Amino acid sequence: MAVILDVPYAVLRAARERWDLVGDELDGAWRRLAAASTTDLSATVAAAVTGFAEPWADELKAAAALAAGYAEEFVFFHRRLVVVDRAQAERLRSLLPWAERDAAVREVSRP
Amino acid sequence: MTIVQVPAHVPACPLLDSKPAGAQDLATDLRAVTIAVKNVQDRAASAGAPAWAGDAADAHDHASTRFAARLDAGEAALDRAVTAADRFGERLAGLLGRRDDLTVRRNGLNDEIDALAAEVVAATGDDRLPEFRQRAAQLTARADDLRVRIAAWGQDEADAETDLVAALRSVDTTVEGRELAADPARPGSADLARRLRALLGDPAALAAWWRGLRRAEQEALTTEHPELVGNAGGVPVSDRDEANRGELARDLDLYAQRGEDGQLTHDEKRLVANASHVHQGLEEYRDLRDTGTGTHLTELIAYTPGLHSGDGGVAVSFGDPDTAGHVSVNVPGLTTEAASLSGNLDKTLALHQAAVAEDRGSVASVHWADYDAPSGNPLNPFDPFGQLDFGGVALSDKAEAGGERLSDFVDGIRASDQGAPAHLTAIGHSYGSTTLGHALTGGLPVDDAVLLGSPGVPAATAGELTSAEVWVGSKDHDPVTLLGGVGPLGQDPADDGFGGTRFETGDGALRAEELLDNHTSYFEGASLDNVAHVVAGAGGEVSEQPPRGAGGSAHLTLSELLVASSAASVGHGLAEAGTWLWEQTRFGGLR
Repeated sequence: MAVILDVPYAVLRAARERWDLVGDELDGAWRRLAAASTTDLSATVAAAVTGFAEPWADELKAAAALAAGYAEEFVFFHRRLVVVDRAQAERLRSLLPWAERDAAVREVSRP
Repeated sequence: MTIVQVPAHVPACPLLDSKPAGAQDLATDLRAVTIAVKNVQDRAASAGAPAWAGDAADAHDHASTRFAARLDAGEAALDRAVTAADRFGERLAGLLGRRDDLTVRRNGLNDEIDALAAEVVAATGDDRLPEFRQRAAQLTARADDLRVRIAAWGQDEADAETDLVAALRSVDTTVEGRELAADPARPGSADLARRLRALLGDPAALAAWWRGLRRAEQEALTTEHPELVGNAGGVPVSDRDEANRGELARDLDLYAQRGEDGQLTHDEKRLVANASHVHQGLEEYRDLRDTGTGTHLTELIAYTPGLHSGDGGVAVSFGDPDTAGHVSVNVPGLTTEAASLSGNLDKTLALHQAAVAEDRGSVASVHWADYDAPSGNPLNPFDPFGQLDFGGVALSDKAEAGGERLSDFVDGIRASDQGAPAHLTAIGHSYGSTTLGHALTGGLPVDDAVLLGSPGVPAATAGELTSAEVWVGSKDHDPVTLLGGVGPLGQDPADDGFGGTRFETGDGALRAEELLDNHTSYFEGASLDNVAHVVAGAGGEVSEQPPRGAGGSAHLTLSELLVASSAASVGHGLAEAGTWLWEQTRFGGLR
């Protein structure tokens, strides 16, 4: 038996690209925040900037990694989504836009 | 023994510990991060469960919904940090201005104290004693007052720093970010964005509306919609600069990541190339400061890296047009695009410095390249892109469309102007003069118009072109200027019948290899001096040159110039002349 997530390929592809873009955007953001300019600022201000930037850079970095991981969960082969089991199909469905939340996950016989 | 109590010197006002430009740079970094987080948050929210979604458990299991909620905390924290950094920078700029004033007063007072002390020492009797004591008492009172003011200045600096540090510390944990995100008083931007869009065509109304917003609302809008705020006529130039620099930094960050992954599309490659050119152009002048505020001298007033057939658009000012007494807007010509920014800004800076040196008030000098000028180099027969662009597009159409954008831009900076209306000069060079000409015929609200190296303008006379004062810089050995009246772009403004004032530029060299230099050297020498006079409102100091044909005087036609210049320089000159001849047939339509 094979498992199918009944969603058009274009929607799946777009979802992967969206998560990938999210990962890239947040990647750039946390890097800039981690290196936020403290040139020409007093030592007190610079310390406060660093104190602010560190936790949020970590948070954005974690979010970036999460999004990149979501993107990588979409594996395609010949324009078809590779799904191992029902649990994975349901997890992938949760990564799609809200409009696809009721997409069917079906088990079909292999040809 | 007679004693006169001369007060001690007033000590110097300390230097700022933090500099306004440093605060600007911090705010730009924070703004770029906020823009990116909001982009992602919006993207995730649009793919997530709508607010009215009934089943909370379903929504919780939905990745985009969870993701949007998670980022909301960071967004709220960053909004507060950006607002605080921006406020800090503004307070520092104000403190710098006050410090300059205190320093002038302190230096003058100390000089007076020294003078009194010297007179007391030199006095040989007591006959001036009452006068000395009176002056000493007055100086003491003034010195005490100044010390109080300097102390207050120091306290204000400390307060500014304390407020920024407190703001940053109030949201330096994710828990605090979540609490702030849940605060019902947090400024929302959806309604504000709708209002902003509705006002985009009305810069005066937009300026009034913007002034009424709270700083936090302005910042929320700026980081939510930098592309709107940064290019909206009527928004103060300094706010547009903040939006555009934030968007530029975010573009560089995002596309650097995508470039590393090899994911850039063709359009994205062009966009990031344009962004990089703008960044490089600004970096070249990052050490220049506004002497009054200590902020960066450059202002990024327009940033449209994806527009104009992919060439990108940009406007950069040296000085703040909103506060300057004299403002110039320089419109470049052919091959104008984001990539040419770096090579063009030096001309605008040269003009800025020359106009400032006139010492007739503050000056802001804008390089405006936010229109779709013909691309490539039409003078080079081996540049296929230049030929393609010229072959497929009616030149005057692009100038006309550019003129409309220029009008919108000038209307915008007129609307955001502070204080008495600035003396405004529009300058068009080469094809940019044609673009400017179209804007002028549409009623461009400027005081002076300068046409440099013009291939033609769409009016027979200066009076038909505009009610502004018209100035013309046109070298007789600049071949482009000889297209006027015979090419497709309109009347030669240097012609005797046009009117206006032709100012001294010299004729330029006659050698063929110098012809192009003649066209590109209007921001040098006597020509630059004269343009600076006009910009600074010193038109009476402009040195004039007779119009072409004045009093029956002769000048070379384009064909005669090509022949004469070729004869003047054998070999290399013939090649140059050939290029111009080719250019003449394409650009001028003179087959």
